Amino acid sequence: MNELVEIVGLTKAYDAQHIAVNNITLTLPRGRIIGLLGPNGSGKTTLMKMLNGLLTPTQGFLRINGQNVGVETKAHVAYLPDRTYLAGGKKINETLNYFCDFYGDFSREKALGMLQNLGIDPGTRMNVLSKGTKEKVQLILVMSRNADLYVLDEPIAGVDPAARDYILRTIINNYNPQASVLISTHLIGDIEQVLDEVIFMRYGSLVLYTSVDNIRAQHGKSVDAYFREVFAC
Amino acid sequence: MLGKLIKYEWKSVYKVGCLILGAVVLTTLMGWLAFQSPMWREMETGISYDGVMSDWLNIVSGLTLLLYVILLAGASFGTLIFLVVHFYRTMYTDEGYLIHTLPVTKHRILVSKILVGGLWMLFVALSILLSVFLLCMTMLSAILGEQEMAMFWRELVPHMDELFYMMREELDVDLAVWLAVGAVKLIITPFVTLTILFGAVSMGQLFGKHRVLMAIISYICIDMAIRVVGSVIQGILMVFLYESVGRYIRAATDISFLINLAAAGVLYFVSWHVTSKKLNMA
Repeated sequence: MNELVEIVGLTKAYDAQHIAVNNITLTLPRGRIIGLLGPNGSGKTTLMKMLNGLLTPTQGFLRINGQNVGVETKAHVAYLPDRTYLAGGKKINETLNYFCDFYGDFSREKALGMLQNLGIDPGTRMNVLSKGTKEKVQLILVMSRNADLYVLDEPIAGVDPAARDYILRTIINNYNPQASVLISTHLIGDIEQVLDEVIFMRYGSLVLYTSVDNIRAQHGKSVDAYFREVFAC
Repeated sequence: MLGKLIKYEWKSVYKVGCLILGAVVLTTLMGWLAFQSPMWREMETGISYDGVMSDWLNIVSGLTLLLYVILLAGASFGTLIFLVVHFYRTMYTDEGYLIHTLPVTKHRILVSKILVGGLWMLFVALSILLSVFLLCMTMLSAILGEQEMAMFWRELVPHMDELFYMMREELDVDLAVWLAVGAVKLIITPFVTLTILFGAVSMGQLFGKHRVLMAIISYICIDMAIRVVGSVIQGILMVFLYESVGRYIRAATDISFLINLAAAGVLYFVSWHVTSKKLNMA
């Protein structure tokens, strides 16, 4: 089965005026790095939260590995939210223990290796780290899992350009070929080199889902340039 | 997985729990010191200690005892507030992103939080009871003197049967059963109280805005509903049990406990429903 994620008629309405995701139907295959792109308020984060069971859909459904979002899917989805969710008083080591205890696919060795590469001491408490370093730690935790689906919400937004390269290399090198990575970002130029496919969203609706090669072949433009054309203000 | 959840929940609350227990110990010491003032010795010996210093010590003793009561109430209330805020923070704010993406059922998450929180509330309640008991003993010993105190205990033990008999005859209460039921209620009540409060916090999440305020309003409504139902049932009981004060009191407290237990059951389901079917993390 090549289908990893199946989304059918998915809608999330906060109230009658605020429809964050509007009737999206989509199937994501395995083994791809997919960019989830769109202007602010287009519903990217809402879609990612629904994939992780943090938001309940108003209508429609989504399945991962053929299963509804729940305990089984959470064991196979690694999620990096757009915010710091680790308790400030905890040491990085304690968080590694936590991930080891709850995720069977988590590799402590991999995490320690990446922390060492970035010069982060595992004995440090989260609340003394800078915003960028916290984001790096969270990404390391996510990428140290051998998940089927990695959902990364703005993984490079708060870090310096040098760290961005490391993070992108980390993403490419640390996911297994049978897994897919769904990345949302506004820094399309930085991430374009690693993407296989892109999803464009606007006002909660699906605008486009195609391969990066297709955009280049059909429109003769980079994804960044094409995005600017599609979403020109 | 439940064991692991309990382990991490325990780790995240035990420091504050120990701090509160330490505060209860210090408060008890403070209460003991209050009974060392001349005023209490006067009661035992009948000799009055005159002088400005003595007056001041008596005033300080009175104020210290007042502070003792306030601090113990604060320890109990503070524990409750800490546990409810901890529940809200780890379930419904940014930290909730971690717990709600774990591959564990919502039942296990809720049970781990209720068990650990309830256990800490029980520890604090027991420490407060012990503190009050020790202070009562200190007060009796200050008033009666050590010899009379020893005599009091010597006479109390052989007359326990009489006390039990008197309670049965006068109030229609079997003291042994009443104490046993009271102990069971004491153990279960912290878990029931927390489950109701967690349910109210979860109910607040059903609203789009002002979720904390709505949680507080939900709790007030739940509390009022419990009190109204309790009062109605107690009123009915009074009609049937008016001849025996003891039986009425026992039945009324039992009913009140059972209503709280039923409310906890309903609100546990509310928490489970909100976290598994209606979760909307901001």
